[in-house]
Amino acid sequence: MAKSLGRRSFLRGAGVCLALPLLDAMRPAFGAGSRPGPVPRRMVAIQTNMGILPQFFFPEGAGRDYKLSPYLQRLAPYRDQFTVFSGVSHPGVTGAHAAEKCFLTGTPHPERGGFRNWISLDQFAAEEIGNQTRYPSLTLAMSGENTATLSYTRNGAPIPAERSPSNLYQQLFVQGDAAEVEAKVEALRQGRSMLDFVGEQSKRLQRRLSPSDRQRMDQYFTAVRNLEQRLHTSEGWEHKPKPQVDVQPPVDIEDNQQFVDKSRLMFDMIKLAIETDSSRLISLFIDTTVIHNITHHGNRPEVLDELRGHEERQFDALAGFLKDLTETSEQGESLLDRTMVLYGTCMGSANSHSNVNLPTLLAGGGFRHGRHLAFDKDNNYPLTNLYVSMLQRLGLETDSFSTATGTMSGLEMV
Amino acid sequence: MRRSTKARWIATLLGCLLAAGTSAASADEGAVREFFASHCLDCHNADTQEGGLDLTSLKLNLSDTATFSRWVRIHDRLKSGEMPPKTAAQPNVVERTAMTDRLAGSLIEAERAARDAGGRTVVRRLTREEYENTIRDLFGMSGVALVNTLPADGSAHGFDNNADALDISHVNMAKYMEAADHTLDLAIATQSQPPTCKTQRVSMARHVGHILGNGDAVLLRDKQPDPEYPPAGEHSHIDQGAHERLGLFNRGSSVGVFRHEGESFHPYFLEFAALYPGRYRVRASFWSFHWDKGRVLPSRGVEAARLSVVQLQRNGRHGGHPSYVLGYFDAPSIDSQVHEVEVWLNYKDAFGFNAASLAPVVNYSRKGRAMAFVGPGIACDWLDVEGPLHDVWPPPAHRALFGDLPIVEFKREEHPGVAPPQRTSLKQEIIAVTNRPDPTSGVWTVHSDQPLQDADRLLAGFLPRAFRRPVSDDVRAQYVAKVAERLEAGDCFELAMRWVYRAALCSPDFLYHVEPAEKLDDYALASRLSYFFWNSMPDERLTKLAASGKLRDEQILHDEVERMLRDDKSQRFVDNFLGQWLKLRKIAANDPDRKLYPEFSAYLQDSMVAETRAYFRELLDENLDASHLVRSDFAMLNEKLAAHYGVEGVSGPQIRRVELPKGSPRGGFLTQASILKITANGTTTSPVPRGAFVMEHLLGEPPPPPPPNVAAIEPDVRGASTIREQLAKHRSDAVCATCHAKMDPPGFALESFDVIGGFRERYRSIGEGDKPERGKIDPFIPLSFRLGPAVDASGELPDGRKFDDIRQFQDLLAADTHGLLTNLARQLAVYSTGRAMTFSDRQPIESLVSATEKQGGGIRTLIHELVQSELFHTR
Repeated sequence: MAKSLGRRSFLRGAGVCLALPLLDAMRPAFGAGSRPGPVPRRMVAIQTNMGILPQFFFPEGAGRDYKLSPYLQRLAPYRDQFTVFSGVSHPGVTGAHAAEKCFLTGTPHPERGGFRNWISLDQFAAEEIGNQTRYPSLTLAMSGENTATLSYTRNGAPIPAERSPSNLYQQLFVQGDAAEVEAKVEALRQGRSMLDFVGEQSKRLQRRLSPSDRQRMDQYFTAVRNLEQRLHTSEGWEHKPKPQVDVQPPVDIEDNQQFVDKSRLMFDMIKLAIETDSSRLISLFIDTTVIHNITHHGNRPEVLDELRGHEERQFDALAGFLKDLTETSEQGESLLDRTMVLYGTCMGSANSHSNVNLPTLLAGGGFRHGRHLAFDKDNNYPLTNLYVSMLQRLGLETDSFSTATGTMSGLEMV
Repeated sequence: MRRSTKARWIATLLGCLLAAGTSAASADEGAVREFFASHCLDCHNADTQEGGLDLTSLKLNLSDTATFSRWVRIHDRLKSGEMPPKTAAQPNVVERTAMTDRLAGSLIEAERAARDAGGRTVVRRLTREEYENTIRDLFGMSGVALVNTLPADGSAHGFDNNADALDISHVNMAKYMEAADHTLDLAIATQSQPPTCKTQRVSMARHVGHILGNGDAVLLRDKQPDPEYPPAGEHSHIDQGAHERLGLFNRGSSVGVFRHEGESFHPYFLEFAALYPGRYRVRASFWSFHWDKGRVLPSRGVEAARLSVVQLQRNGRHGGHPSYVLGYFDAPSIDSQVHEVEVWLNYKDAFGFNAASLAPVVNYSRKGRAMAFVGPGIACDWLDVEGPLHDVWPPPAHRALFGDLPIVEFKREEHPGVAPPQRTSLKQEIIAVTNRPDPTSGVWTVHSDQPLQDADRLLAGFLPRAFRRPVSDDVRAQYVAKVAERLEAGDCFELAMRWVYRAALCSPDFLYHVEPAEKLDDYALASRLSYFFWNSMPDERLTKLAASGKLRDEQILHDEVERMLRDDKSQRFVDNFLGQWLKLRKIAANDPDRKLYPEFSAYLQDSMVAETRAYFRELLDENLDASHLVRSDFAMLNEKLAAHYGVEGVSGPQIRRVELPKGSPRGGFLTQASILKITANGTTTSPVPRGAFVMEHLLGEPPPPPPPNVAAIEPDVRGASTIREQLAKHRSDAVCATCHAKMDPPGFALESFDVIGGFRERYRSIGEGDKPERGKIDPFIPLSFRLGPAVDASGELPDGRKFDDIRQFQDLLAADTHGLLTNLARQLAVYSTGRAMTFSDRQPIESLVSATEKQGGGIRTLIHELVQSELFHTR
């Protein structure tokens, strides 16, 4: 396994050694290395929720020979490994800040009464391929609020995000002793048995309900069954050792003002999760509400400067993440080659709360990159089409997702 | 349009309307045909499609929701007289009424058909607030914090308790299991004796040691500078640790603070962090002073000292955030005033402090520091915390689960093969804190000699309370059988019982409002009342009334509503209802730009919210009429708000009723700073969102969403143009004009108020403009903004009535008391029943509004009428 050097102090000089060869945990039937498995395909989907200044993001010129914009300049070394999009947005997704709920779901009109979200891209994929890893997906957020999340279940319930890198580290890499594992397994069993019991209780209630209420109660029953299955899967994983990494647990940063440092810390953890194949589907909500005020810049030059500074540092953090993924290899390919990194925002202009012309880019993952795909600014191209391409890249046989009308035009797989 | 298409369409329309309408309709057939042909189709046909409406292609299938709402709009436009337009020939009153009645009949019929087909979903789960309050009341743990451990709820039709929004998934289930475990951990007593109740005097000096050292605070004794640790002057005090070891921060001196909290300064009382969740009594002593380079003089008035409860994280080294504000307390000039409050504390809760009414002034970087400073300070003498307070042991939470069963030591050797309850020992993890847990030994747990009989008895008490209705013997037997199974598997009694209690708290009977399909039964009625007014389960009295069948009695129901509104728990109704109806929950969504609004503070924001809540409470208590929603001759103010509004003679942080000077636009919700802040973005205001807010939330006429592909206005505060000028372009576009003509006028009137609800005659700007007057802005706050263009708050309502300013606009709005009351009735109905109000609900709402008006139109009367109505008693 190749070594990688992290930037952060806790990573400094410490290579990552894995106790488990990749994929072994998932194919117990075969001897390690006796037959190469399918190439693991992964996705990291990232949204920042307060817009990205469009004048510094969107490049001039389309196609291969476009000119890097100030923000993209920060990603210059990876120019050939990402595609930048313009003139894209989610059809019908309006409602200014409300749209932050829909970045990965594409559900129209989140601001309206009676709104119900759809399933998010990562969860859609997790239903198919989530069983291949210890964690079907990781839902992460960098936020002061516990409501921040990009991931939604099939019936639109928000999945609470893990906000602490140190908790994430615990979850991924720290395993209790035998007694603790046994206790955990027993707790999971008791949990399942209790779910079984309450599931039966809902059947009793069903008998007294009207047909429409019965549907409602069915939702409860389904929730109980789904959780039961999940606990069952967790029980299976509980007996398998977690991967060991030669990296100290991170120390969380509490100050929301330091959101760039917080982003870096989260990126470091994500890279470890990918490298150890703990999960292949990761969503990250970067909440930049601390700079909400200055996003309403009202075109004041000094405020624009301040905002630009913050955003450039965010792109530097992203560049660092891409660098880490490039420099770590797996079976001869870089992690970036196998990991799609979607980076974007729900607002085209935070100053006017516009939800069209979303700054978006996709790096890595096995596409022919290096281009600016420019679509119509007045009549946007559906961003959800990109999601269909991404799902197909993950190996899902689907040609529809949310409001998509097909795959992303002009984006080819390698 | 060709005659034949038109004729065909009318024939279809009639078929539909008549089929769904009354049977004796055929006589009017010709009249209906004539009506649409002569009044509507000239403009709303396939070629012209005025206002985007083409009647010839509009579907007639009323079971389709989009088509249905389109027809509702047609009905409404006809009924209000908005259509046909004034310029066209008008139908006479009889024709018009006949037509709208017919349409209404069809719409109501269609709704009934949909409902009979099982289309209305109403069984719903608890929201997370309801969940938390229910747990609090079920176990008597008044401050246990659970909301933030549960996934956020959606919201529909303006409220989160709406069935449409309350989905459930495996994620919710997993969190319910965790929350149930957490609740049971807290509820079950693990000792036979209560934890020692201690009184601890906590000093703030140690925590603010560094600012004492640099002159942003001073130590005081007997209202004078403490000679042992004089105020920092030319030099700052160095080596805080050495001073600490000398005991200088610990000898009972008062701390006088000049510095407001900020990003890098959050003072709190360092030596105490709660270990045992429970009730505590807090006493604190505050006063204020004017500091003049080392001299303590009488202060400018009553200052405000804020106490908050801070939930510390991990070992506390990274601080915490103010979880919630405990209150703003009077700090009178020189004379110490002692305040006492009782509060529930959770594990790792500590107390925070803020010199709330002071400007953000710092001395550390100034020459001469405190010895050169002249200005206001707030002093804290001490803070005492006493607790945990237990009137009985085991506490009510434990009794709810285990009654009076004895708590004995569990000795493993006496119970071979039996799993003992799991206990984690309590630790004080917060560094620098001095309170410690009581020493314990052994594992203590409830003991039962006849476990299955006890289980049956305990569950017979617990389940009906938790499920808010009687529980059949059969269901209880299923739970008891589980206890038996767990005992068999080797669990001790506590563990076995815990298993079923957790199941009960995760069962649909607990998590859902289980109501019969049509008429509510007595228990469902009791729950509807308690979740309406207390956001929680019914108490014992309500349940007894339900059980005895007396709750439906008109007088008893009236008395119960009165009792519930008097109860402190009704504050949950006020907070929760306003939080959603008037979007008060969004008060902190934007922090105002610091340069444009330097006078903004957290204290001002908290005062805004307090005003709106107190005002609603006053409307309820005094049973005032609906014109008060938009216009009032009094306001609920404290000193901070009074200064903000330019009202004289109010002193201190407590909110009280203040009669307004003549001509003041303040008082009603419309012009409260909270509403004005929520409808702005922190930097600029726009008439559009504000107008839309007034229409939707106060008038009950939500404007349709903007058409797609219309660019929003890019706000610009460089001072060159006003929002009104930018908007003019927008309004001149015919597509935009129809809606904006309705939506913008309220927003224009509110242009007189800035983003923090201050009255303005000119816009503030950064860059161009004139130097502003200071006015009521604290002299210690630098004025960092300029004055730009003048505000024009005039406008014209769609019906042609004009106004010059906010006062005239208020009069126009207040004239429509009926409309305001009807909207409030609808909002309360949606909130209390947990479902959207539909077309067929209009008539019932209309009748309860008119019943209210006959009795003077008071808002408390409205609530009584609602509770007595058929609407409230049906699901």
